[in-house]
Amino acid sequence: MNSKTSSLTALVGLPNCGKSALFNALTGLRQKVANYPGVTVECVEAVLREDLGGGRALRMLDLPGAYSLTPQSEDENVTHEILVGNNRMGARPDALIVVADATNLRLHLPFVLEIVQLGYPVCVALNMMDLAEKSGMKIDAHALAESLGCPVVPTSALQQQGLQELAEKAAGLAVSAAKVPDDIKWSPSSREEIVARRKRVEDILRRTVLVPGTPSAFTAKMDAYLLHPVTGPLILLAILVLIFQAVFTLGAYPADVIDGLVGSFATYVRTGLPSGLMNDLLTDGIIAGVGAVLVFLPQILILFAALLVLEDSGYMARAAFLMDRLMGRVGLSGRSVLPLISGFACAIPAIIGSRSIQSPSQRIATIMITPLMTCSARLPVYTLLIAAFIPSLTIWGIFNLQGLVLAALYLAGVLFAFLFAAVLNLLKVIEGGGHFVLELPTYRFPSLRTVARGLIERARAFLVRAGTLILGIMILLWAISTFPRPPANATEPAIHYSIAGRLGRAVSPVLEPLGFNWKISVAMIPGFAAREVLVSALSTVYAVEANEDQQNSILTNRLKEDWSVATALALLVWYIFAPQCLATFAVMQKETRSWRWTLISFSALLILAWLAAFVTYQTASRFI
Amino acid sequence: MDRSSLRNAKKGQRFRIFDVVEGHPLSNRLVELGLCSGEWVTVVHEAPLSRDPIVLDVSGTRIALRRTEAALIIVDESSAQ
Repeated sequence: MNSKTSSLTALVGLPNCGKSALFNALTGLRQKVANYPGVTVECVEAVLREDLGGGRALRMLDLPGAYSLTPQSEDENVTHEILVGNNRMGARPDALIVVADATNLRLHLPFVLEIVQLGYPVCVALNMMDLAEKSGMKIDAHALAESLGCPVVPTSALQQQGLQELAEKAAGLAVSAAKVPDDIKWSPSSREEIVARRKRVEDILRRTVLVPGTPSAFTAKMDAYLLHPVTGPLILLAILVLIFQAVFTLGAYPADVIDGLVGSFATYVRTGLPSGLMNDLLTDGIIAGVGAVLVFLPQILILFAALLVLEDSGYMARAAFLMDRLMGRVGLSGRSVLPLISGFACAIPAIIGSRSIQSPSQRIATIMITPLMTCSARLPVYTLLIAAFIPSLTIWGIFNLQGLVLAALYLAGVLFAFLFAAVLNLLKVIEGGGHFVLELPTYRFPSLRTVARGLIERARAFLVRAGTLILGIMILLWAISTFPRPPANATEPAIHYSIAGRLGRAVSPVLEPLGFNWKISVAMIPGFAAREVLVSALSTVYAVEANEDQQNSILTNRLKEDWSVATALALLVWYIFAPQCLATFAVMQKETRSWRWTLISFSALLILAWLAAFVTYQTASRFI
Repeated sequence: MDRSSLRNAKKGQRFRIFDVVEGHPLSNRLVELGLCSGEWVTVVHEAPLSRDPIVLDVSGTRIALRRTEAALIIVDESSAQ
């Protein structure tokens, strides 16, 4: 193996040590999710920035944060497995950078000692040094390096300080004669060892910290309000309401721009190309379909940005604390709050994020209920139907009725997630009283780089999906809704005679009691690949069916003409529950390693969707 | 010296830690988080309504935990302030 080009340096450290920010600063924006054989591990891997590497291509791995090598949760287990687990061929890093928060060395250094003992070539990044200096702290980095027995580099990911030196040290370690021992010796620490390490840290700090800093009172001042028994929950509620209002109102402007661009592009293509099958495929199939999904990119990004800021600032852990008691009532804990809230963006990272839950049965329950959290893929469906069927009225002077309906849909998802968990708890799927121990990190101004990188990643994932999966489905859908062509003496619209028409009519009897016509049934078939596809599928189904002079009227108007309000409401309710994202269940199976729980979750959600939509349609069509 | 656990500790109280009970899956984690015998710990927050979970401050680290876990932390009663 050529160690110069393929050596791997892993970053390890406690949660909240600024490890990912440092990783981002070292590697720039080009990253990929690395998969390791044997375990379901996803760690981000990237190559060291060229200007820092000095010509060496160094691979870097960002390991999940851990408090020690004795794992208490699935994500700590990932770090444990890679560093000290039963070795899988080639999975071990060649060198380690241990990241420690310079403002809280008493907490972070024992883990550094534990890592140094293992025998890896290692260096320490004394991160957040800018904040430590601001607090007045003075530390003798050389003496610290001597005490620890490895190089120490003061860094600040935010201020881009110490990166060059850290990169050089890391590159030096990776190609040095020092090699990773063939068998890493490790056993779980006894209480005595843990205490001994803490004693050694106290000793080291006494010798190396020249002036202890005065910790900033900012976090305590903020928490006085944010964790206050009265203002705390109110602020949490206000933050959530504000985010959803922002998604709906702010997202509308860029969405209109994209909508306009897509529309004029479709017209341009339609008039520029000779009419015929090819023209239809391009305009009705591809542009209309992918365009309908692209329109929602701004809203999805606003939601992701808000969640990334909440997490990066340290607020998410407070939300977990405030909601722990509530979660405890259904057998979960505050730990489930983080993954469940990120489920508002997408269920897949949320399910993977549930690895931080300490109790295995709580983790499985959290994963099973996650699809009920309204993910961003439902937003396109909700937005379209709300815009078409819910009047934009102002209520009590400040609220918009459309925004309120959207909030109600989100709340319904949360409510049923709770009920689902409560049922799992009653059935003893969730064992034991459950634990909740969580560090509340110091508040920090969110790193723009981390938020930006997260957003780019998500935007890319969304666009790749729109460009591949959704595009493919659109072409297929266009084909099955175009062929076979109608007979010469056709009395019904063309799609009626197509394969899609037949399929839709075949499922129709099951969905008719919900008020869904055969066109909805048709659009729902590709919708099982991904929820947002329903919007594109509807626009394809309706555009294909339309005659020439209707061609440019927007989908909203079509739906208004064709559906009753009861149908629209039933479809909205269907989407609260329906397990219409096969990727989610694939990830669920992978993470729970259980077909049983995956299938139970899938069927429970499908049955719930049918029942709830049925009740909604039957009730609404009587009263509206 | 009188000893008790932090199960019923109230906001604002400060104690010197005597020991953390062994045998619970999370007891060593509590020590790793800094809840070590001899350290001073302050109850800084109580959750709304039920007053459970609570937030402890131990040398600048804030740890949220339920009262069932706080029960593992044995403190010297006489050091309460």
